Order: sequence, then C-alpha cells, then structure tokens
Amino acid sequence: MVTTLAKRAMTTKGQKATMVIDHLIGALGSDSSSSLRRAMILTDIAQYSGTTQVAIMKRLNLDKSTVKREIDWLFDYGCIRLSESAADKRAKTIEIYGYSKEKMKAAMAYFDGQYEYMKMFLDGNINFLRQEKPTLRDAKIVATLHERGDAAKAEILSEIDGAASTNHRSYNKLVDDGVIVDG
Amino acid sequence: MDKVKDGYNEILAAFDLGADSLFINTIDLTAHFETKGTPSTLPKVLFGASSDSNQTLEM
Repeated sequence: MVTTLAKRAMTTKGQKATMVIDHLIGALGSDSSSSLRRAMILTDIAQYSGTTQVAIMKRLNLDKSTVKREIDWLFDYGCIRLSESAADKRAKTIEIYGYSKEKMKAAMAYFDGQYEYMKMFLDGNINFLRQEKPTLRDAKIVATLHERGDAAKAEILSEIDGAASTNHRSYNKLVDDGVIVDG
Repeated sequence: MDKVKDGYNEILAAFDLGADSLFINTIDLTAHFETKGTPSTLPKVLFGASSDSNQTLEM
C-alpha cells in the first residue's frame, strides 16, 4: 500500500504509462514488437487464472485462430502454464507464470491491482494509435512523447529500446497516420 | 518539434480511476473502524467478508 501510494505521488500519469508499458514489454519476453492485443490477452489470463481459450475468446471478443496463435506464443516464451482441465478433458486451463507473472504484478501496482483499469488503458491505446496491429513499441513512443509535451524525433527515439531502424519505422508510421503531429 | 495529437489524456484517465477506487476503499474502512470497530467485526472488513453477516473470525 505504501509503495503504491509513493509511486502515485512521485510520478506523473505519463510516467506511469511508460513504466506500465515497460513492465508489459518485460512480461512479454522483452519483445517490444508484441502487440497490445497480446498484452490484453496476457492481462486477461492474469485476471482470470485457470481460464480457458474459449473463455478468453468470449471475454475479449476475439476469434479462435487469433487466440490460439497468441496462446502458442505465450507458451513458447514461458509466459503461461497450461494444465489439464478437471471439468473438461478436451480443454486446458491457462495461468500466467514465472517472470511474466512478476512483471505483470509490477505493472498492476499502477492500477491498484484492478485489471479492468489496465484493460481500459490497453484498449484506449489500441483505439488511439490507429495502427492495424499496434505494438507496445508504438505505445511507448507515444507515451514518452506525451510526457515530454513536445520534442524532437531523435530525442524520443533515444529513450526507446530496440533496433534503431525499427524504432524509426514505427515513429514515421505514427507521423504518417496523424498520431504524432507537428508541434 | 513533434507532439502527440489531442486525446491521449483520456487514456491516462485509467490511472485516475484506480486512485479514486483506492480512496473509496480507504473511506469505507475508516467508517467501519469508527462505527463498528469491535474486535470481532474488524477482521470481516480486512478479509472482505460481508458486513451484514454474523460470521466472526473463529477458525
């Protein structure tokens, strides 16, 4: 409680956004190319520990192939653990696991542990970014720039981890799509 | 110089809602201490049990 209150008192909302995004990148194998939708699915799994693929599809209104592909990715990167379901032998229960669980917990501290607010944050970013498949990298660029108020491209990209060429491409796409505008 | 288009603050409101919720919980707990703060009822709040139940912490 004290730690959470201290975090709130000492950071702006823009800083919180960048920190939450950093924790989510950490929770997803340190891959900033991970989509916000993948982060949403991991959040849903953390919220409903022991859930199933079908339940995730229903809650997030996603199709079967999308959810299966993301579940496979999360399993391959050690983010989740699958177990046999006691209720239905054809289904597997899913729970967040290991380093992902720790990083998600750190991210959730900024929302007082309330998953619906994290989902609102992710959903807001998905709608705001206007990309076909917005990534955590896109979200980090925008959150960093918003926190600065206005800044030069090089200044922002110096704060973004990952391959410089990929970061430049993402930034330019955000400019082309009108998410980043001339200050 | 670049900036983010208008509207991003609405996304950041997700952090406000978390804070509001925490504030409400704190007020609820304080009110309970003031009005019902007996040794047998305090744990009900701390463990999230219904305030109108007769359940105590006897385990």
